[in-house]
Amino acid sequence: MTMPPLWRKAFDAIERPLAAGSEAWIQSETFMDLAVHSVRLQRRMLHEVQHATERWLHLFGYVSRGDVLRLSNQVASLERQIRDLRREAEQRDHPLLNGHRARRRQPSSRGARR
Amino acid sequence: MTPGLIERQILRTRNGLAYLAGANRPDMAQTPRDLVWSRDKARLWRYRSDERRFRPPILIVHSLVSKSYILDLLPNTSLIGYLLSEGFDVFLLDWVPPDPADAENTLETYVDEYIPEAIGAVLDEADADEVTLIGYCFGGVLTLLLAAAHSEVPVRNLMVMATPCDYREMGFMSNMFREGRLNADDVLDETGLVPASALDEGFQSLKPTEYVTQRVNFFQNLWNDEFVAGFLAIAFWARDQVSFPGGVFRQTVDRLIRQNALLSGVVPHGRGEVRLSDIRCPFLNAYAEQDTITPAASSEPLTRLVGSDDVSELRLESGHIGFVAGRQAAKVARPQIRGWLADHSDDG
Repeated sequence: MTMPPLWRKAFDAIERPLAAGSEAWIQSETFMDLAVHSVRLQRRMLHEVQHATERWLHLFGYVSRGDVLRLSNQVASLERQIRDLRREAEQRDHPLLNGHRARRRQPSSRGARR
Repeated sequence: MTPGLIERQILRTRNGLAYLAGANRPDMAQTPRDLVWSRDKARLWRYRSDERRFRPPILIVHSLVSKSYILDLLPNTSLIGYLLSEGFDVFLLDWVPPDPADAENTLETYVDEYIPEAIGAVLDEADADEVTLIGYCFGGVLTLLLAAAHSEVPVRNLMVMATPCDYREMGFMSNMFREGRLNADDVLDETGLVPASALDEGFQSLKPTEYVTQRVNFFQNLWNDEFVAGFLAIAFWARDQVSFPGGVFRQTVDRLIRQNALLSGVVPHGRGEVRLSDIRCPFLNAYAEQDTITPAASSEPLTRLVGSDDVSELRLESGHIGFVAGRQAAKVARPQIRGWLADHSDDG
């Protein structure tokens, strides 16, 4: 097995304690609290900026990102309804496993099952 | 044989320039396959082979948080390619990245609808009566729930790879939700999905110095063509995350993280619950010692939670992708996986 070069040994000597320290820091209560505040602050700021931009765009009769998202979510909701209807219709005609004959195993003696 | 110092510098320069020019990105997922069934975002692929020797067919259920080409990364490091060459009939249930229409998908959508339907398609396509199920990462959770919830589905064997069970051991991301600092809705976007970027940041934060260390490893081995191809493929995959359906994420936070239901062996499901002890088929729990995404301590309890009399464990000295790439995969993981699958299949 070849020995690592000197520069690599130097890198490892610095990286290993740094990695251990940073991993421990990430698991700490302080870091997790900071991360939560950061996530919430980012979301709030993004929301404020989007809201303000949307008002200006609407003032000039333009479509905003929020309008597109609302439309996209409405289309998604329709798609879900169509899926549900299709599935209901199919389940009436075909059992589970695409109509393939299911092999029934011995029922379990333990506990409830849905 | 390792080349000399000057030769290595020449190779390093050549590969470095190719890397900067973006010319040495490897071709991934090259194993020929056919789409045999699809429903919404679910895709069932059957890999082509002239050497199908073992029955029942294998159905690999991929995770919802990553792309499936990790299982067929490069021609010489493809888990799927290896299984085909060993005579197995391999199907892959893959998921197209979700869009807003999938935001309200729940665990039940996958466990009670897509996977049983895909198994039906496998049985028809392979003219078989049962399947061997393999679940990778979160796909393992889906297969466990399926095997526990649906006794009518003919699962002959179940194998899970790098599958989480004890969510107290899942580290920083899980702890943020477990202790109530964050709620599931805090990370969902306006379409109801967990954005891929949020997952990427979460995974990166598990080992903050890893990005730099990997680049240093890359530079050190830049002369080695094989290393460069493998490194680039894995690095590309590791950052190629997909969005996660919000409905499944809410359930993951509530049931799997906060209730730690998998560890208790009883998981709320639909209008009732399922018990891992109801899994009676032969079971292999494969996990990796240095896995930072699904730590070994999280996967380990599954071995004693299932109700099967035929339970095996494969513990690897590698990371999350140690089953599919690297020396451990070729020397240890694949032969052992092959051995277990062959022992639990019919030959000829």
